[in-house]
Amino acid sequence: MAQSHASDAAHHDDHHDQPATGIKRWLFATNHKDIGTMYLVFSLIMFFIGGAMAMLIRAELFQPGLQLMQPEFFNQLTTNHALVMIFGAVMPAFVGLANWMVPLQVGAPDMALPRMNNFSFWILPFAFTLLLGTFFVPGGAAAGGWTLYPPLSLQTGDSFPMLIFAIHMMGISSIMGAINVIVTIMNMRAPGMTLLKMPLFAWSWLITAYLLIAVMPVLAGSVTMLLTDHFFKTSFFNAAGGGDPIMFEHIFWFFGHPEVYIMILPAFGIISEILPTFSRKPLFGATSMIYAIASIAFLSFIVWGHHMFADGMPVAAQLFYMMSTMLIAVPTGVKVFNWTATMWRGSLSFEPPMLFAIAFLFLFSIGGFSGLMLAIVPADFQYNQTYFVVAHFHYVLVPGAIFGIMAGVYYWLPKWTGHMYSMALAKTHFWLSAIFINVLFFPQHFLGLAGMPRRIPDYAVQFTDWNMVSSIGGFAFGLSQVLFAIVIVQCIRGGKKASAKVWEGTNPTGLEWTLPSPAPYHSFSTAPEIH
Amino acid sequence: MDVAFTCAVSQLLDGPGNSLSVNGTRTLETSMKRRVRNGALGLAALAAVFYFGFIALLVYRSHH
Amino acid sequence: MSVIRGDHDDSTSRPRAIAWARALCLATLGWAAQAEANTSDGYNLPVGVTSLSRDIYTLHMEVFWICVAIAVAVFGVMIYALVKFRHSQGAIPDTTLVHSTKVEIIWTIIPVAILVVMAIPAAKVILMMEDTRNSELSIRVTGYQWKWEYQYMDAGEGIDFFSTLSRDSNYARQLHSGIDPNTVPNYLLDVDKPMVIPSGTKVRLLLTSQDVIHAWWVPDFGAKRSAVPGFVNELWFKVDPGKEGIYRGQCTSLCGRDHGFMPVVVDVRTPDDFKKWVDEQKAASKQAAAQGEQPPPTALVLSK
Repeated sequence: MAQSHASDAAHHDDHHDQPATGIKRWLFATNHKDIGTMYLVFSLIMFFIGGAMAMLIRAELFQPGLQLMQPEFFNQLTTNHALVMIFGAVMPAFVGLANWMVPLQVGAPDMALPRMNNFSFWILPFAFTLLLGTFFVPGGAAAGGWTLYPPLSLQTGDSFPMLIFAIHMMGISSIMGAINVIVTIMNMRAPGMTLLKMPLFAWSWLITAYLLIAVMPVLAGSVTMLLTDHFFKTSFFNAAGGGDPIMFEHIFWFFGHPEVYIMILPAFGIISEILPTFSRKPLFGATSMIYAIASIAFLSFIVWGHHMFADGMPVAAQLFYMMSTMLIAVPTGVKVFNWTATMWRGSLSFEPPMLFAIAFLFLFSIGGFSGLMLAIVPADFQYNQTYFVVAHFHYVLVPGAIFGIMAGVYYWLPKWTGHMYSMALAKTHFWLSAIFINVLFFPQHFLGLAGMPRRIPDYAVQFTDWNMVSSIGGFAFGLSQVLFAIVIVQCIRGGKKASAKVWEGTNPTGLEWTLPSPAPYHSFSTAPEIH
Repeated sequence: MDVAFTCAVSQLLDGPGNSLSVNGTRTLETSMKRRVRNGALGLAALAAVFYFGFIALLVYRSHH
Repeated sequence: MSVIRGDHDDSTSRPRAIAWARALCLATLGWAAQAEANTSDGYNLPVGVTSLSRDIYTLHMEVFWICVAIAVAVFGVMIYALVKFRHSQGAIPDTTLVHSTKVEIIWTIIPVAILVVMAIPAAKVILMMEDTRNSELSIRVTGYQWKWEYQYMDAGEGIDFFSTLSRDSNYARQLHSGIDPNTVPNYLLDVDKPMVIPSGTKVRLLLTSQDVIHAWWVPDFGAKRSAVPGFVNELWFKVDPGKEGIYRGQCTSLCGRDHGFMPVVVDVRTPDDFKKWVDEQKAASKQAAAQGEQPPPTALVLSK
C-alpha cells in the first residue's frame, strides 16, 4: 500500500520537539502518542480490575452452595465486571490504539483536535473512580445487571446517581474520541492517501467512530430517563404510571447491539493488518473487506430485537429480527473467508501477533456459530438468559475483542518503545491464554444447554462439574494475563533495538513502518509522499 | 509550544494569520481548519440529535 | 452430570467419574446429538416432553450440524494453510493472489442459501409457538421477588397459591450454612407447592409480574417467557400423555438478590388425577373460607 520516502521527523533537532517532563507531560498531554499511551495503560489497569471481579465470580461458582459472598454482592460483581470490561478495558484500549496508530497510518502530525483528545482521556479516570466508588456507598454498587433493565435497576441504592453520572461521562469521552478520529481521518490524511488506500485499521475505526456517535447518545438518553424515573417521578419505564419497561430494553439494545460491533470492528481492522504481514502477502479482497465492515455496521442497527425474543414480541417482529440477524453472518463470513485467502499460498511465520490473530480467527468463528444458533428464534427461547449466551458473548469478546487488542499491542509495541519484547514470554502468554480461554468458556455452552441460567450465585448440583472446569480455566487464564503485563513492562524498560520495519523479513505495509522505532515524539510534521 | 501540536491546534483557530509555519513544517490551509471545525461541530450536533431525539420520542410516546 | 428434572432420573446417582468420562468423550467426538432421554444429559438441550420442545430440539441440532459442517470446512482450509504455507518450510508467497471477484461472489451467495435453509423451518416453528388459540386450561403466572403465584382459570377457577423455594434448599443455600448441597434432594430446584397441570392438555400461561421483570422457564417444555410488570405475555405447551412427572426450571431474568432462588416446578398428572387435585384444592379453600380466613390476594394485572 502506501510508501513514503520522507521520514523527516526523526531528523529534527528542534528543542521544542521534546516532551515536557514530569506529571505535566501527562496532565496537559496533547500529543497523540502520550494520550494513546495513557489510554492503553488505563485500559490495562481496568482489565485487571474487571478481571479480579471475574475471579471472584468464578471462585463463588466453583462449587454449589454459597461459600464466599452474599447473592447481592455477587450481583454487584457481575454487573460491574461487565461495565468495567466494556467501558473501561475494551473501548479505551481501542481508543488508545486509534490515538497511537491512526495519525501514523494516515500520515498526520497529530489528531485533529489535540486538546479535546486530552479532555476525552482525562474524563475516564474520574468516571471510573465514581463507578468503582459505588462499592463503598450504602446499598453497595449497582446489582441489576449491566443492561440496567428497569424496574430492577431502579431498586439500586445510593449508588444509582453515581452510576448514571459515570455512564454519562464514559459516553461523553467516547463521543469526543469518535469525533476526533473522524475529523482526523477525513481532513488530515497525507496528500495521495485516498480513502481506499487507507489501511484497514484506520478504516475500521472510521466506521466504528460513526457507530459511537450514533449510539452512545442513545445510551445516555436511556439512562437519563432512568434517572428522571427514579428521582423526578416521570414514568418512562414505569407501568403503573403508563410507561413501558420493555421500551427501555428496545432503546438499550438499539445502543447495545451496535456497541457489540464497536468492540469488534477495530479488532477486525487489527487482524487485517497482521495477517498480511506474517503471510508476506497483501490482504485478500481489501475493498470487499471495507464493504463488509460497512455492511456489518449498517446491519447492527436493525437487529437489536434479537436480545428480547423472550420478552414478548409480535410474530412479524420475531421473523424480521431473525432474518436480519442471520444476514450479519454473510459479511462476517466474507471477512473470515478473505482472511483465510490472505494466508492461502502465503509464507506464514508465527510471531506473537500472528499467533493471536490466528486464535482470533478460530475462536471468534466459534462465537459466530453460536451467534447464528442464537438467531434461530425458537431455539433462542431455550438459550436465552442461560450460560449458552454467556459462552457465546465471551467467545466473541475475549478471543475476539481482547485477543484482537493483544495482537495489536504485540504488533506495534516495538514501534512504540523501540525495543523488541521477549518472544518466548509473549508466546508463553499466548499459549496459556489460548488454551485456558477454552477451558474457561467452552464448558459454559454445555451448562447453558443443560439448563443453567446466567447471573446466579449458586446452582443445582448437576452443574457442578462443568462449573469447576470453567473456574479452573478462569483462574489459569486470569493468572496468565500477568505475563502480558510483564512483557509490556520489560519492553518499555529495554530490550533488543527494534528496526524501523520491526518485523524484518515479513511484509509490514503502511506509513508507520517508514518511521524509525521508537516512533519520534513528533512524526509527519511534513506530510509524507504516497505513491 | 511543540510542532505537531501547533500544526494541529492551528486548525481550530479561525481567521487569517493563524496558519503557523514552524521550522519549515507543513502549513495548514485555512479551508482545512474550517473543515475540521465544521466536521467536529456537525458530529457533535448529530450526537445531540440522537440524545434529545430519543428522549423526545419517548416523551411523545407517553403522551399519545 | 444430569439434568433439570426429577422423577424418572437415575443419572444423579451414577458415579461422577463415569459421567465425566462419558461427557468428555462425547464432547470431544462432537456427539452432543446423541441424547436419548427426554431431559438434558448435562451437555445438550433436552428433547423434552412437548411437541414444541421436540421441534426446538430438532432445529437446534439441525443448525448445530450445519455449523459443524461449515466449521470443519473453514477450519480445515485454515489448518491446511497453516501447515502447508509455512515460512519455515520455505513457502514462497504468491503476492498476486489478492482479489477474485468470482470466489468473492460465490462465498457471499452460498451463506445466503444456507441461511434460507435454516430460516424456513424456524419460521414455521415460530408460527406454531405463537398460536395460543384453543387452549383448554389457562393459568395466570405472576412473578414476585422472589416467588411465583399461580392462579388457575377455566376448570381450576379459584385455585390460587404461591410457590417458593423449598425449606431444605433454603437452609442449605445460606452463606456458610455448613450443609452440603449434594445432600439436599433437588437442591435449588424444589418448591413448597408446585404448579399442577394435566398431561395431553393445551395449557396456556398468562405471565405478568408484580415488581421487576422475571422469566418463567421449564426446559423440558421448551417454554420460556418474561413476566413483565404491567403487561401480559402468553405462552402454551401440551405435555405428551404418558410423560407425567415432575419437571423443573428456574427464573431466568435477573430479578435481584434471590434471583437464583426462585425455581419453577411443574407437576404433570393424568387428566383424571388432575381433576382429583382440583377438587381437593377447591374443598380445602372452601373449608378455609368457612373458617373465616382471608382469600389469597389477587394480583392486579393491567392489560396490554
